[in-house]
Amino acid sequence: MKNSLTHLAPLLLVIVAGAQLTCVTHHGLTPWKGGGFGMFATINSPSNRFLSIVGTDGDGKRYRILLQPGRFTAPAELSSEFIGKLLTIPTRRDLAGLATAVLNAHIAPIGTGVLERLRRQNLSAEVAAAVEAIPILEVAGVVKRPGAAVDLREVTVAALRLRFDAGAATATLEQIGGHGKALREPEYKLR
Amino acid sequence: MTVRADSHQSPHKVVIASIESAILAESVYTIVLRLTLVLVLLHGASSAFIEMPIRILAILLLAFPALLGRKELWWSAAGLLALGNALQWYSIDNHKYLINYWVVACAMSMHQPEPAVYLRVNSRVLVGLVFVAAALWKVFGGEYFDGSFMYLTFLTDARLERLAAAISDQPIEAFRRGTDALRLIGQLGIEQVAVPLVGSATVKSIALIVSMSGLVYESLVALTHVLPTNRLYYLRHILLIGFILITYLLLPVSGFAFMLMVAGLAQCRDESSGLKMGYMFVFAGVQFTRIPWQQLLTLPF
Repeated sequence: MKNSLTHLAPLLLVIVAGAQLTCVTHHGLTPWKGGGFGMFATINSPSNRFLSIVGTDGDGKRYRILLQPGRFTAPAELSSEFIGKLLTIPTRRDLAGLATAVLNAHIAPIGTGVLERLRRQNLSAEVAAAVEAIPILEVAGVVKRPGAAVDLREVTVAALRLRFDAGAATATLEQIGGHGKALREPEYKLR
Repeated sequence: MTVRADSHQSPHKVVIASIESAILAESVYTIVLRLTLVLVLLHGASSAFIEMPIRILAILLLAFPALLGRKELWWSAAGLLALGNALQWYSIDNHKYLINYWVVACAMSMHQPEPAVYLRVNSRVLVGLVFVAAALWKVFGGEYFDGSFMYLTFLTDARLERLAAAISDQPIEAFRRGTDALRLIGQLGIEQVAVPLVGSATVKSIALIVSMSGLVYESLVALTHVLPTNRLYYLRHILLIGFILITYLLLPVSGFAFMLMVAGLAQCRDESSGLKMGYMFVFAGVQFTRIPWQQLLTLPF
């Protein structure tokens, strides 16, 4: 089999690595994955990526929504596999899918134990202020039921990556690409 | 090949001698094909439903020497790996891709008039391309070349915090406060808030030195493998074996270590008995990466 495919394996490596570079550049894929051999070359690994889930109620009040990883297996958008994929390659469609799932989920206040642990942490003033800035709720069930802490009208989900300023030795999170949004249409009552 | 028991030799020396004879008597090509099948068994499949047929294929090829050269079975293995990898392309580690390319190369070798030579060349080129890609990412990725990646790793990796604390003469608790705060803003998804970590000029300098040393080493591996000259034969092996031993004792990705070992062995000529034995020792040594000894670094001594 002597033809242009004689060195098929190296050719495949080059093609896949090229495709990976395109996905990294244009679709937010982490360089650690996808066959480009970019692991241990950048801080932008899946474990240094996070989700920002912000809900807004009918009065425009904003809430930070916590989603515990691995807590739900259904719907698919709340599963750890989906979240893992989202952090690796945060497409707008998947971000919107998660936003819709959170919008339809049962939202509850976070446990007092979690709150106390948050308050006990020796945080810098800036971080503490950011934590306290808007109320924190959590996804407590996959379907909204009576007694929910808030009736969300809008949920916005974005993927965040870690950035490190070596000079100042500070780390921040910044958004990767766009965000996904889910809206609940207001109910109109006819008089 | 049988080894006669010398009445003056202890039993364990006889066993070692017979192991050595068996390794040296076998052709590199055959050893590489068999080790590739073991590699595929242990580290090849990336999903549960692909694992079953892959295991069946690999076991068939290993158990029945007459089947070892059946190209149809090797192409089937390559195809199954590709299917599994395609379904999980965004989440699988990069060595899964490399294992797939390698199995393709093994399948292709069975169509060649000189299969061992074909595999030797493809191994060199594949390893070269992998290290070229890795080096390019480190140079142009934007966070390695200036030492940032390694500096952050020193400041936040639980296995290195004790070392960083000792170097910077800061309490470990200070490092942990930083990583806890980082974990918190990550959990809550709070962006554009600067989390202070423990800075240290000494740790930063050491991180830069480690980064550059790693880059230079990987670049040397890349260069020696990409250049086709036979003059680099022994240097290639020394660099590759060194890379496997240094890297995979620190970062226990045994699949990648095993893959590189097989690729290195495939580049050995049959008469290079020392190198063949050397790779067997590397193979044995790499098994120790499965012991989670790095966790000892996180214990509160």
